[in-house]
Amino acid sequence: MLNALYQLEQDSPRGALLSVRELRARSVLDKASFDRAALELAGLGRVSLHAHDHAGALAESERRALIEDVRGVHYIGIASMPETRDEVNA
Amino acid sequence: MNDPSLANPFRDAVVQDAWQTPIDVPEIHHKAFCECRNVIETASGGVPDSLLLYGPAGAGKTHLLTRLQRHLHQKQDEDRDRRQHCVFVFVRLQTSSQLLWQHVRRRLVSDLTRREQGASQIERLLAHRLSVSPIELRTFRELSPELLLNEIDVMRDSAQLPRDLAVVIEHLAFDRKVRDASAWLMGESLPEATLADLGLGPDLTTDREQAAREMVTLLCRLAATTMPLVFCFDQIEALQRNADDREAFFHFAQMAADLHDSAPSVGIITCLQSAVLDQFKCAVRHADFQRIAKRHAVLHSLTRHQVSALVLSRLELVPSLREQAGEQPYYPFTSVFVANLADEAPSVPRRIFNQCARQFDELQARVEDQPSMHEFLAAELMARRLQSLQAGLEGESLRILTHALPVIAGSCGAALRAEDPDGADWIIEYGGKLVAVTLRNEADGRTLNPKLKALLDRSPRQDGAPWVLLRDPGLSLSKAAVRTRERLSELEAKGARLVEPTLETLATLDAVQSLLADAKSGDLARDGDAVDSSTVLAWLKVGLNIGADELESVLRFWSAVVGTDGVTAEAEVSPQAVLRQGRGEGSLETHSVQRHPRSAPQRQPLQATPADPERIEGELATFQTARMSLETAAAVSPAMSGADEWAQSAHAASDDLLSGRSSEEAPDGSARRTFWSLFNRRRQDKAQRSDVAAATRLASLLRG
Repeated sequence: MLNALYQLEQDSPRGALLSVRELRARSVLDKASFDRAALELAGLGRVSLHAHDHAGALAESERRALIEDVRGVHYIGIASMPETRDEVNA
Repeated sequence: MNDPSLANPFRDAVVQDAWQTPIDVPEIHHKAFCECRNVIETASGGVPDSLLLYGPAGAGKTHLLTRLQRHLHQKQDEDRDRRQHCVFVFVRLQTSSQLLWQHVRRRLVSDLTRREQGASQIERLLAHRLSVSPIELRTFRELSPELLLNEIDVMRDSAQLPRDLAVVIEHLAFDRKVRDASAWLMGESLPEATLADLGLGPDLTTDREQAAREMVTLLCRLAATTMPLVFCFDQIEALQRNADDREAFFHFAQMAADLHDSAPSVGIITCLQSAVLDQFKCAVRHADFQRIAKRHAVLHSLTRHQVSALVLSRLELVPSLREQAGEQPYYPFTSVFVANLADEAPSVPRRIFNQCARQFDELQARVEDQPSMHEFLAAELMARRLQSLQAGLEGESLRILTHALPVIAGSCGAALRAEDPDGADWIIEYGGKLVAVTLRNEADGRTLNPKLKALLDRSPRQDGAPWVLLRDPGLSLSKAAVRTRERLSELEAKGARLVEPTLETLATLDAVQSLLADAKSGDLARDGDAVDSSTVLAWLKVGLNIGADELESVLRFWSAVVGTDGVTAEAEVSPQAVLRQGRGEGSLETHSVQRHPRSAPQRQPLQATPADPERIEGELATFQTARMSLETAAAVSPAMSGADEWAQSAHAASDDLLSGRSSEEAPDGSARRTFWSLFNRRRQDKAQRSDVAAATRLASLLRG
């Protein structure tokens, strides 16, 4: 998951918020595993997740492309935290 | 702590514009702030730069722009001669994408002519060119006007400014005819006499959007030859007509990319809500994206330490609480409560403030029922309407009507299309009838006359739709415009109608636009949770269908536009009335107001004329006093007192959505209690508040 994230970061402008959809497309994980991994990384402070404010207004297929946590919050964007990136670069 | 006189320091947390000075915690979003500064630094070196700022709703995007604005201000204060080092322009995109350049033009001019410490940015710009302080500039103005004139000539030549623009800059530099000069610069259509007084040629503009683009480019070139110019774009989501509208983003990016290319010292900062990340990237051209997003910065969730600093920054506003903070650092909160705030999803300042505000109220035993969604929206609408009236609507009618009419038409169930071979701005089909609407805000006969002639040439229309001319209520024709008035009469004879929305109507429509724009941008929050635009639209639809009092003026306007039988609008004016006004034969003829047939509780018919300062002042004064008058209270309360009607209406589903109550819960007097308790609370906080602050406060209280 982190590898896919760093690859996507390398292909994107520096400092940009990355699309969860794009990241999912690059990952081999199924939805549940992908979501779990992303949420765990966020819990560890290694990535930052950005919530979608009105995910309820999205079509089911669009919503499924996002990351969902146990509270039903959907996340559309992801960015690695600067410290994590520095660590990997080192 | 159980002291009800203590103001809750966590209320009023929404930052509405970058010129505000909210309490700041510099460590929050520091990296993103550094990127903002980098943009200005690069632009200062003569290389255009740009930044895309991402963040969820309530993350503090607008707040960050206030920090940048204050930073620039501070740099200016630190300068020995108090010289400005960068022109700062804040553009909240509450407009239609068709009017993008005109909106940017208005905002740019508004900020250039904004006065701080006695001098406007344009004066500071001139002072900078002359290497003098703004105070010295004033001395120059009086003692050596030729020096200033010479500098303006140099500027005109170096930036290749057209004559009219140079003349207007001269007026502004010498502090002459500032109001008219600014209006011209903003792109307002001015009467011939005013243009002549300014020493300007006739207004022959045919394409106002193109003219605005040219003017913005010229002003950028003018400013950027002296110092960097940074445009901060906020709420770009508000440009979207609906959630799927990608065209709005496309147009925005195109416009911002053009700005980027307009001058070497231009910086562009764009705030983007994380929720539209994918949509934005898909909508804009790659070449435009590369220009407007050279840098990227993300507003991350707050860390525990940042949450703690944020909470303390607000608590420090109440000295009596700080006195008791020895043993309990977050008094009156516990450390556990504050530590848990970082677990909010998302952990953004707005949510943190909201949780703290609620807890603070609970500790003060000031717990009240949360207002229902329609109580909240009705109060927001009223507060914003007052703000709009207070801010003034001069020159805003085009923006307001262009945005509002499609929204109102959609909410009333009318079909609307914008393409018309005969040049109508909209063709509206309502109740089986068509009307062709055209916005005619040309100020004088010379510019209006050819437009009217074109309409006459196309009358009657092949589709049988009568022409409806929408016009700013503040515009009147001069006595000399005889031919134009004849044309109006001829048009009326062919079935055309002139509709001049009252000032009150414009303010209400502006408030509707503002509500929707904030909702689209995630900036409309009720009890800390974002209210989406579909909820606002559903509320509007139901309100218009049942004739809610707060939307009465909108209904009258709509009836005037579509010519609904049985409902004659106060806003509708016959061309003869305009003729009489032009001849100085009294005020505009207005038809008697009949209330909407389905309108709920009766109240005093509104007597506002297109310019009724007494009523506006009265309304503001009423609002300002702690004892709210019956009329003002009635403007908010019908939705509450009429809760039964809502529940019984055919719009039950929407009502459930809006009220936030389950369908089983019978409406009772609790809503009314909530209303009065909110105003009682406001009464406690009333001291030394301005009318705008009072209106904002009301909205804020209802926001929870």
